[in-house]
Amino acid sequence: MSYNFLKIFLTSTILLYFYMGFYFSSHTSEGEAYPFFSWFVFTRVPPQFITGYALKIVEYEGKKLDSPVFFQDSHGIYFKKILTMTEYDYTIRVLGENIERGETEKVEQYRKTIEESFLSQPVVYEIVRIEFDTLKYWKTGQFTEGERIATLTAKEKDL
Amino acid sequence: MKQITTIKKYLSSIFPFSIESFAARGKPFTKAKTIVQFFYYFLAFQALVVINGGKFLSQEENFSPVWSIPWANHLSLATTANIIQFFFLISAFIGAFFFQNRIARIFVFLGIFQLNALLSSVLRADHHWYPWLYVSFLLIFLPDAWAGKAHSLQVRKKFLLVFFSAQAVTLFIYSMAGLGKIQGAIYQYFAGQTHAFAPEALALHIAYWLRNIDSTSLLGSFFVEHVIVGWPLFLGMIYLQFFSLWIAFKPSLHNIWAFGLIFMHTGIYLTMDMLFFPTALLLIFLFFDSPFKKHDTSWRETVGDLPIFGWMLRRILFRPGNSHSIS
Repeated sequence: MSYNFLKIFLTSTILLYFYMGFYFSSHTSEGEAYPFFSWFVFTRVPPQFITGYALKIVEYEGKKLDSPVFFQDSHGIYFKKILTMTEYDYTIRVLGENIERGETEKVEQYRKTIEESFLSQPVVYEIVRIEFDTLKYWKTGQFTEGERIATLTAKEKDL
Repeated sequence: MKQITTIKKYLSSIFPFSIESFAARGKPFTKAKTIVQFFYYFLAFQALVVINGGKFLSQEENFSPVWSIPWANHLSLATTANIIQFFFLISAFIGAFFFQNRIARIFVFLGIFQLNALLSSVLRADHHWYPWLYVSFLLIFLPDAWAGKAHSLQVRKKFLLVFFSAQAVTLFIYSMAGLGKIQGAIYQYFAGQTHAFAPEALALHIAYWLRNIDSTSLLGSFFVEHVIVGWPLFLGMIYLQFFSLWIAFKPSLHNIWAFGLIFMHTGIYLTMDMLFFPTALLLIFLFFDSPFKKHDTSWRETVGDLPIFGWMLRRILFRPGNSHSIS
């Protein structure tokens, strides 16, 4: 391989790689296809005020709870195992978004994931809208509970 | 043709960087050869460190093999991990002993390729080792430069060109990350949202990310509570990232810029609990003793090469009559 050909080949390969990274970032659901990646990471600053969703357990083993408890506060009682937020937060959020959008099929899909993966007993639970200031939430855990958008029952056969 | 020559001349005036001039001297070539050698030695060490199939056992339900390991669809994650890590170990040691041979370098690339495929098949793509993957691919094209003592100018030019391409691709990654942040900032500014140049940008990134990964960090609280302290650091990070590719052509800044990027990775770990130390190691290999950096570079030339600040200071740094003026 001559020097000039090697120069053109290496330059083209590098440029082609980054072009493919951009191409797959907009043409795949994951935003990339191994080994191509656009390296556009943390490109948007998260909003200060966020609307999210939380799961609230209102009935457990057929008994209504005096004080319904949020999913993240019920470690070890209603879970099959102790979970970190990364494992359930996304699924609950996407379930809430799909309930609001009326996407019935996706609601069933994410509901099934939550009930099979996270809930170890038959429960009645609500999906509620929450609002929080990102910085305040991180410091104090405070959020504002909003409207209930769905009440769902996880039956024993679904688990 | 005339336009191409004009563009080439213009670029040469901004980036007076010539592989030919480096190849004409002996030292850059010898140094580059040594760095390549230790790149493969280090990979062999790293192969011993990553051998641990057990750590994947808890991720079985998240295992979704990427296209390059289709056979893994018929196997458990633990078995797949053992096979791939064993292959990586073998290929890394072949590379450590026979890096002079192109077939051995191809093996090393395949080993890292499959290891990255395994990491990317669990939960989501893991990018920590991608830069090593790119560099190991480019190093396949090194000429045969180890047999005998005397090497022609052509061999030295090709070797240094491939080495330079490994440096360039590593810095290109950072420039893309910086470009993404600037592009996002412009979008968010016009959308009336908090953008990357705003004082609270770093604090919001830290708070949001640590909440999402349900983690804490040593300095995360400090920067969330003291928003204004993080502001210049975040702007500095965007500057470091965006201009990285520019630095590939400015050898006087190679080691300083690499140090800056490693400092950035350390800061990201201390604030957002995100480790990118494999990339930091690659920066040390490729830039801390760059073959292209002249040892008698003056501080004026180094400062003058800085993007934006150097352009502004050049008139002061290189006043007529100054013994370090450059044309």
